[in-house]
Amino acid sequence: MKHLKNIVLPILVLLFVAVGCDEKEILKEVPLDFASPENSFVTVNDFNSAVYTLYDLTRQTLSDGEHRPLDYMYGTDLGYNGAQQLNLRFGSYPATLTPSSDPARYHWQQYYKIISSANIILNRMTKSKLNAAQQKTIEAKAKLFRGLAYRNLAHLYGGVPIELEEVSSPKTDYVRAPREKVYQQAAADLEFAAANLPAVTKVKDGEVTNLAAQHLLAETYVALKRFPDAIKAASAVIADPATALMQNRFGSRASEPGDVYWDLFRRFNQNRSAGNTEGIWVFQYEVDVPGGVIRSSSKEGPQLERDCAPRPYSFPYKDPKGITPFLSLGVSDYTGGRGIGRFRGTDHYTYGIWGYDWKDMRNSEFNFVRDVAFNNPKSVWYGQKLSDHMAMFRQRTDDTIRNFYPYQSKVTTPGQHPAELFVDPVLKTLNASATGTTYTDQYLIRLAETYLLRAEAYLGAGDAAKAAADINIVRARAKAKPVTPAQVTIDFILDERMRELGVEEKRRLTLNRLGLLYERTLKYCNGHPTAAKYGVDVAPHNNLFPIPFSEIERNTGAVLEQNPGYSSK
Amino acid sequence: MPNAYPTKPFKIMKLKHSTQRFALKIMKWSFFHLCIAVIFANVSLALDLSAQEVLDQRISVRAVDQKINTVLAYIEKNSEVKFSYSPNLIQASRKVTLNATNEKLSAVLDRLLVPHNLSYEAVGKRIILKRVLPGTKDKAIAPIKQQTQTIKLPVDRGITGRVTDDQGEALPGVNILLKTTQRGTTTDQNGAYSLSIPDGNESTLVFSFVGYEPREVEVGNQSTLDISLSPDQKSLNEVVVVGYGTQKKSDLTGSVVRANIEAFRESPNVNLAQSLQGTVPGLNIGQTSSAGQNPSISIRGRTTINGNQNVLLVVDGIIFTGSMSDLNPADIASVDVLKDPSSMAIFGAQAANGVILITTKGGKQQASKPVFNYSGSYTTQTPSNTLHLFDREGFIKKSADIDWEKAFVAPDYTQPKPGFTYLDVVNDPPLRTGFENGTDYDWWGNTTNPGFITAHNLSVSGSSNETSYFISGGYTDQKGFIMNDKFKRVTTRINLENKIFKWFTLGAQTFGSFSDYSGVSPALSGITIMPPLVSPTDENGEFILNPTGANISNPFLVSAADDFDKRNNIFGNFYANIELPFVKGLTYRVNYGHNYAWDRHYSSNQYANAAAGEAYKINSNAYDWTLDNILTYKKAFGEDHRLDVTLVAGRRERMYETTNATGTNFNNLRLIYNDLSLGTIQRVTSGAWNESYLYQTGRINYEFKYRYLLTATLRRDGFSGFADNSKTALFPSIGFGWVVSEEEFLKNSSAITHLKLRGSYGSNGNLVSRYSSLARLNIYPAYVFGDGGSTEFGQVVTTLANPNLSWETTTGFNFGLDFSFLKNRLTGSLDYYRTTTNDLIFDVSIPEVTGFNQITSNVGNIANRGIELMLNGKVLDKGDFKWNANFNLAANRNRVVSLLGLDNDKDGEEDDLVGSGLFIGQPIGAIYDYESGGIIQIGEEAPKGFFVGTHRIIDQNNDDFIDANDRVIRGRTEPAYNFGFLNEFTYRDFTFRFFINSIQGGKNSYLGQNMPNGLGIGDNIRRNNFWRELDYWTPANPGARYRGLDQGAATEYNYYGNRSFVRLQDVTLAYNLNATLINRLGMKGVKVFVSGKNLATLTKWVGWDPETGSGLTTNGRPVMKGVSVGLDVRF
Repeated sequence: MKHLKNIVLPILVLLFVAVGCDEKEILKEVPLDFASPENSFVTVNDFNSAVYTLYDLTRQTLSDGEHRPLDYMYGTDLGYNGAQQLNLRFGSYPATLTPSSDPARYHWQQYYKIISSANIILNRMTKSKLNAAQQKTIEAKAKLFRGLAYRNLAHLYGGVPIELEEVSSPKTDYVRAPREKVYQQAAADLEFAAANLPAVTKVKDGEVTNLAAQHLLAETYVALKRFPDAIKAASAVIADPATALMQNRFGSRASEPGDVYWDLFRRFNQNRSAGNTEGIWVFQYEVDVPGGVIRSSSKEGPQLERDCAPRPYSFPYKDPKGITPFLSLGVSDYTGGRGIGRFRGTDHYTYGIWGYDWKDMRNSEFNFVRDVAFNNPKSVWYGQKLSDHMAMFRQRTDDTIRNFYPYQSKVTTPGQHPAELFVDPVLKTLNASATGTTYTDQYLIRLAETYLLRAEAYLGAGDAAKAAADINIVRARAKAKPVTPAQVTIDFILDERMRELGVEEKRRLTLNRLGLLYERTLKYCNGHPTAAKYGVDVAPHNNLFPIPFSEIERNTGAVLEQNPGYSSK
Repeated sequence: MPNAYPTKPFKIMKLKHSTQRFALKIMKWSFFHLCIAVIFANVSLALDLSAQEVLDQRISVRAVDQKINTVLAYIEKNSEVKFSYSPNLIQASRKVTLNATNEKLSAVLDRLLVPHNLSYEAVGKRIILKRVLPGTKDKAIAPIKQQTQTIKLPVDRGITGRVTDDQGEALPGVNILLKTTQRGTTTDQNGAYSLSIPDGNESTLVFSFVGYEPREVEVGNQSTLDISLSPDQKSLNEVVVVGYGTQKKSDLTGSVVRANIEAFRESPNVNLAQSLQGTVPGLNIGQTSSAGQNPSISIRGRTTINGNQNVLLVVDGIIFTGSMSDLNPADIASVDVLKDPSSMAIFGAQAANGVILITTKGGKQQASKPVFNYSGSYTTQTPSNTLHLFDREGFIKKSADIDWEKAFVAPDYTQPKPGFTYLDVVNDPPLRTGFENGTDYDWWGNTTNPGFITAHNLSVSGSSNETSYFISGGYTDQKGFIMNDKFKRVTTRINLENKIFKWFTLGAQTFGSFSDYSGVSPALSGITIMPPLVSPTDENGEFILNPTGANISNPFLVSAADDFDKRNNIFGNFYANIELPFVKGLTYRVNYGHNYAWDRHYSSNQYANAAAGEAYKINSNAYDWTLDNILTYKKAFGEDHRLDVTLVAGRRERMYETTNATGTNFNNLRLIYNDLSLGTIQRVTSGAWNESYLYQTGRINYEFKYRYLLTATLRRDGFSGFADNSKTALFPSIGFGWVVSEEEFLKNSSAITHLKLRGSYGSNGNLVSRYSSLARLNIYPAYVFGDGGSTEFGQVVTTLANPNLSWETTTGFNFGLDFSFLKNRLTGSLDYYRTTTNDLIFDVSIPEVTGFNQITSNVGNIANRGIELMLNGKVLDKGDFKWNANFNLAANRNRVVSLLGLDNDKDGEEDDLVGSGLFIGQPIGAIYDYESGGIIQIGEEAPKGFFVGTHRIIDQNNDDFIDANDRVIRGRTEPAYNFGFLNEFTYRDFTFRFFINSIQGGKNSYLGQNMPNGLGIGDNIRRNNFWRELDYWTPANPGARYRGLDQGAATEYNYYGNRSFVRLQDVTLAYNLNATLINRLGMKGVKVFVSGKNLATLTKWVGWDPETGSGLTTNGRPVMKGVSVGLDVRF
């Protein structure tokens, strides 16, 4: 054993020293292809990057994809799921909207991601190299997005937990704050944003401004029933010299037949640089540019065309020569592009609201498409109208629910689909695998809505005359018959929002805010006549979304109460 | 875009650091080159020691009353000789006394052996011991031929022959004894013998040789008798690889099993892992269902949830991070599996999930001429099971079933409605057209075709006295059953070892593996849903982009790609072995291993990206190196004490990088993927990571009186992936063995040949995936302001940091019993183990209010326990006919013992982590889901959110409300037990083998979700096809397993099927050509064989295969059945 000690030990010591001397250095972990938050919130550029993510998250939640803008519309007074799916897209409320369902979880998760990202910005800012002015602007931006997120959470879910700090360790004891508290938090954030964000003339297209904050603030005040404050905030937007409703033809297709309302929704016409003074907050989309979301080769971005436009290419009927008069692919014309006819407008939306004045510009042949021409040049009916053969094209239930029905042309871009999508550039037939997006920027806030919001505030404050005046400004632009103060009710305003905004509006937010989702949906939304025998089966408790079950499950340290009607309690 | 974070302050430091590294690298590479130079320089210098020189070497021996075999072993260790003898023949246990100082070996042997009536002969470095037969007076060194001539016995007739091993190589020194007499001889250098035997047909010869199974052969009236001996696989003297060394199986204290890969040499196993499937209890190998695929591998139960779950592969002592499919099964000499904490301990945390030690072939130890070996086989590939898609007729009938309200007569909807046609329910114009045109396209049939595997392997091995080598090349070409499912592999291997000095050995184990996975199969998920009423091509033979008119692309489009997918791997372990002077038994070994893998995946497809065209190139490479310093010290102290110490200090580093360049929207793709700049839109992504390991290990094996064994291991592990203050940890283990059969009271037992009890206890860590403790910031293209604006990058924090993330530790014991009864007729082992894993690495779900959904943490513990049994029986051994059977059985249970340790609901019991699917007292694989109260039938009232034809969910808590609180534990995914049963029959030159493999779940275990990924509703299910085997509800089929297809409910009921199966996995018939015939052809051995793989499977599982768990999903693949014919030639 002596030998062992004398020889082995020194050798070993040498070995271990040779291999292990700089152990700390060897085992140090330096990530190679991702950054660390520790050193990434320093310069103003870092903070701007973090704010760009807030833009992206907000756009994602409210506008991107097949479900997202549409979760806010299906199963409301606006429209229903025409695809006979009862447990998807609010085909039937009890089958679609449960605490375990995807819509309940998705929006919760997204808005809290916005909140948490804003909290991180606000927390890190104090330790950064930003000067006071920069801090103020960044803070205003972060608070705008956080305020928007809390406002929408309160609309959708009622009271929710309020978290204003950067979370750095697992926290599992959240409790719900009352809905009013959440609105107050949103208002506080938006007040700061409204006071400190730049003016609309000082920003790039698509950037948030003090006016966007004022509009959101106005709506939050309405929810808090602080009507004078709401009127003041909305007036700040309306009175700003840089904003005005568009009254004349403008933009990329001003020389074609149409009207100013039509121009508002054509490609490249949404931003101020296009001469548009009506857009207050416009979600930016670009085709085939990183960060622009929309791609010419796959369905990404707002899928309003896909869901809301009909699919006349599915009509089985043939002309006397045995040729189908519609081309077998979606076509970039007024037949709806590559729609699949899933979001069928309610009769109230497609017919009822227009009874007040059928000649309303927003109901023009350009804006609410009610008839289309056959587009197959091989057919002897080519160029004739669908209405010329009405009886034939309404034989079966799906003919008028999916294959063709009146729809708003703002969901599509007739003649303006990206060139890569054309299977045949002459016929303008569209690739079935990739088309379906609405290839334009999307309004989140448009000045016309601000007028309607102020009208709501005036109505709430008991001033029907001023409410009517605001509504009539919007109607006047549409050359529609004015409304009298006596006619102004909340239902009229909701109908007017339908006329002016239609599928542009995140309808569920408005209806939930007013607690009228159940009432209006029950009244106007029948659902698919063969699948939903009892309508979409909406119940009073559906005025709020359920708190996601997964969240209740994860919050092990405290009880997150479920909304009434979604559990046995 | 300015840099998101400052880099300047770090730059100077980095530079310094990299200079250091550079210098170190140069040093390493020079050493590496030196090794190679030395190896090649010495090949030519190799000297051939003659027999005389061997006997002339000088030696000192001192032995007082020691066993003769101990003395011989001592001489072997201290000189350049190897003894060959049969222990029975020389009566190895008799005691001798000997004292020699610096004497010639021949003199020593004369003194040692002659008094005991033994003689010897030197053949090269090998000395063969024989009994001096009565009546012979042979001189010790006399050549064997003379000796056999001098035998003077009453001669009746002579018999001659040749003894070879199972590979056809001559075996010198085999003892041959005429049964019941003392008459006998041994074989010469060429394995030849000649012997006189009494006349008559009664004579039986007994052939015996150390390390081989003895054989008794009746002579009959033959005058020539060639036989082959097969190695004694189950021999208790078997040496197994245990990590940084080897150990005799009889000395083990832990649970180490050598896999019987020999039994599967003739099976068409492209992947080595397939040869291990079902053969080692506790080792679980999954099935494969595509060409070149790596099966899943796990050992014993699951000890971790989110920690590393991979079994550690060690090839020739170096941790292998490449793919198992890079190894050519033909190059593998042995596979050993380490299962218990104490035997895994030497590899530390990387071994948390068990270790598979793979040893490749080398040259023989003793000098031998080169042996060439060619083997080749051809195997058919057809599905082992068949599923069917609806054809036209079935599809139309299914459509009526979905729209049963329209197609059948009320009120019970079982009678077809008169006048109903498919056109009443179909909307899509292409389907209507197909219906009217009579289209009946067989999508599955046109996607599949019987495949094949061809394999060719050529190797040469041999050795001179100083250099041994094994060089091989292999080629495998596999074509699967699905179109474009292809795999080609070329492997080469060079293993060299050179003894430069008596005390200094240099060697290299190297291989290259070049695999080709090129080709894209059609999108199976599309193939299986395409209705038979539409075709993929139009009248001109052009692809139709969207055959149903819906946005689902033609599934054949993806297979039109020009696809290039080559994955290469080169591996080299360069080692030096130094027997340190001054101290006998002290050896230093350095292993310097490298593994470099580079993958090139290039593809272009004009139909990709909605037919806008896409081409990409992905280049990735992974490199890792290992430097191990191993010091071993072996010494016997007196007769009773043996010590074997191993110390290791090592370091390992892994690096990876990948670049993906993609072009889309091509005008044309004539240059395929070679000019990506022709894509209008170009995207580049890249990634990289590295990780480091640093470790020191020590192991002591101590043996006392052959009876009491002790193994103690201590490992200090360091891994970069843990939080700063937990980079290293210490893990101890200890094992004991008691060889009961060596005790006096059993020593003379005739029934019990060997009996050993072992027990081990130890703890080991487990790794976390790299960067888990760090918060991550994702920087990505986020937004574009204005029309025609440029991209603004966003940054978002995606994970929370955990500054306390530390090692998960598994602690447990293993009790084992090794036994051998009735002179090795029944051998086997039994193991029982229990482990507990603490501080589980687990991604705990947290409320999303935080902005995050999980955090990787150390929480709670889980326990595993299990039992493993192995039995080897020589059932029959009647002359030419032998029957060996091998049975193994394993069962494991795992259980969550504790989680966060919280009792928030104050019910006095720790809370489950329902949100994460973990339940106290339940296994990890617990299935927590709703139960069905049957399908709601016509006329029954459906609860809100549910419909006729959907499952009624049981209200478990009776609160009149169906929600997630109504879920219950329905069973578990883990199996209850599994077993393998191998039978081998040998008759003369024929061998027949069959192997049965089975995994059983009992009542509620081994469950798998057995339904399509979403049963579908609405337009899609009306448009889509599916498997005919899907038993869906209709009014006429009220007892169906799956709900009706027209509507889904608020809560989907999931069906879980039992995956239990019994499979006839391998059947082989091999024939070794008669030795004389082979000799005449100048060959050493010829074997022809036929074998079958997966010929029959018994199961109640509905779907492709229970073992893969592929049920009725749209993208499942069948497991292949194969019949192969093959040839194995040695020359």
